[in-house]
Amino acid sequence: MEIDIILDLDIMQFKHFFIFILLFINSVSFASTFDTSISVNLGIIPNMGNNLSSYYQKNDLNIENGIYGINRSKSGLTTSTIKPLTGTFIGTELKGTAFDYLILSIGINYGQSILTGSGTSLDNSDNIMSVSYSMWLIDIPITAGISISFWEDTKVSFQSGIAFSYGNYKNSFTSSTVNQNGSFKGLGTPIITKITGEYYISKNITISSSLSRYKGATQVLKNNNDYAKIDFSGYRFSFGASYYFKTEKEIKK
Amino acid sequence: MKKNYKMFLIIIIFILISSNSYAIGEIGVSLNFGISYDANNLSDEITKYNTEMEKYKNDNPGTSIVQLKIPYMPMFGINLRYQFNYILFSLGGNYSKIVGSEIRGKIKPQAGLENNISIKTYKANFPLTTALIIPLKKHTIFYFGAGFDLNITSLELTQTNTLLAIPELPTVNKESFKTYFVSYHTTIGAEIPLSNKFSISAEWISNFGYSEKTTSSESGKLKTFNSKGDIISFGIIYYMDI
Repeated sequence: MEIDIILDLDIMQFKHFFIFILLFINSVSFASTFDTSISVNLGIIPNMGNNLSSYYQKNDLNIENGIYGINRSKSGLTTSTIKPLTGTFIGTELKGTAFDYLILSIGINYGQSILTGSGTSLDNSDNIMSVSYSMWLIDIPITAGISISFWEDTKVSFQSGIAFSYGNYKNSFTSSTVNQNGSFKGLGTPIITKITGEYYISKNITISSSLSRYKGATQVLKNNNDYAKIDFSGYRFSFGASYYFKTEKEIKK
Repeated sequence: MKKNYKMFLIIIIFILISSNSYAIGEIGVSLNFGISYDANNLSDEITKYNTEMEKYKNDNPGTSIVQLKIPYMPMFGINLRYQFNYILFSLGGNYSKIVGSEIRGKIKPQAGLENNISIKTYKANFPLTTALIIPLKKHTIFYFGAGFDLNITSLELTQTNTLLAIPELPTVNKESFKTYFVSYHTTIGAEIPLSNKFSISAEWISNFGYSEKTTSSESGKLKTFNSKGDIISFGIIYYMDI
């Protein structure tokens, strides 16, 4: 049944995906001034997965807001601080610019939580409990927007769109009385808002930085008698470099 | 809060006085479009309902469910803009509504009546913005600013069978909330001319604010609306000569 739901979701989402691809190809064909670029980006995802709450945490551990409420302490017991997940991602993007200002892009990103998300807290009986959260994701963002070139070698773009995101969120709670592990996998289609600044360092190459806001999550998923959604919402900061196949204008360098 | 309003007014007055007095400015009308996800921030509630429905399904073999989806909400708007030297004033109205008019979910036990759940929601907001313009050339500008919004929001949840007693879901067949409140926003945007009279624009708007608690007349439950969210709004602007 779960597989059926995922397949239904797949078919619906990929239908939309192909419509976007057709629109992309269409814009390439009709634009009289069209430039294409490919970029590589590296970035960070603060608070990856947001609160990472689940049914087990709420009902069995009495923690309403997941990782934000997991830290408990008591005099005489030593625990460590469990910090929200910090993620890093790497991605590539193919971008088309038509008429100097209309842009359409498609990319792929891989993100992984690093460093934070594990430590020790207390269970309901004040036993030391080992806690671990982790997450990875792959997404295909498709965005459209406008770009403005100025000062000969600089451009800023505003883009909005949707991402097809697949995520895997894992949690683990272990103490002398608690032993719970969860692993949730699923698809979501978050909305993206994005602003990017680019600077030409040569006729064809730019360096860039961008701020993106994702908002969206999977449906509620079930694993090992626990229920959770994978939340893709949050900000992403990235830096990268792009190669333009057809330079839009001469840059005085 | 009063201090903030006063400071805001002082800044506006200072900027107006320090602007050149010979410019009479330009007036434009803009049609805007954007898309947001969960504009009324219902995702926490919907996740609770879906989790309890999944739990019910797990505890009662033979039950089938359709989870409620968190809505995409396209936004359409119109605004009046006045550019005076390096200052942009804008007053607008935007309306966001669920794609397909409502969200539907279902829980069908092996025996007995099913519960069809639907959620209808909309958001109308009226933003007043003041922004500082960085002109690049005529009608090609960047701007960044802030302002206030009057928000009108509505939420209605209906169920066909409350006898299933799913935790978190209301115990009444219909529960509705409607309220208005003031929030604030920050914006950063840009405009590019298409012709002498027409420009296109894109702006990133971040909205922040909460309503007072509002009561459902049907269930007596209290709810606070949250306007927090980001949207990229694309627009076509027509400039009028004055």
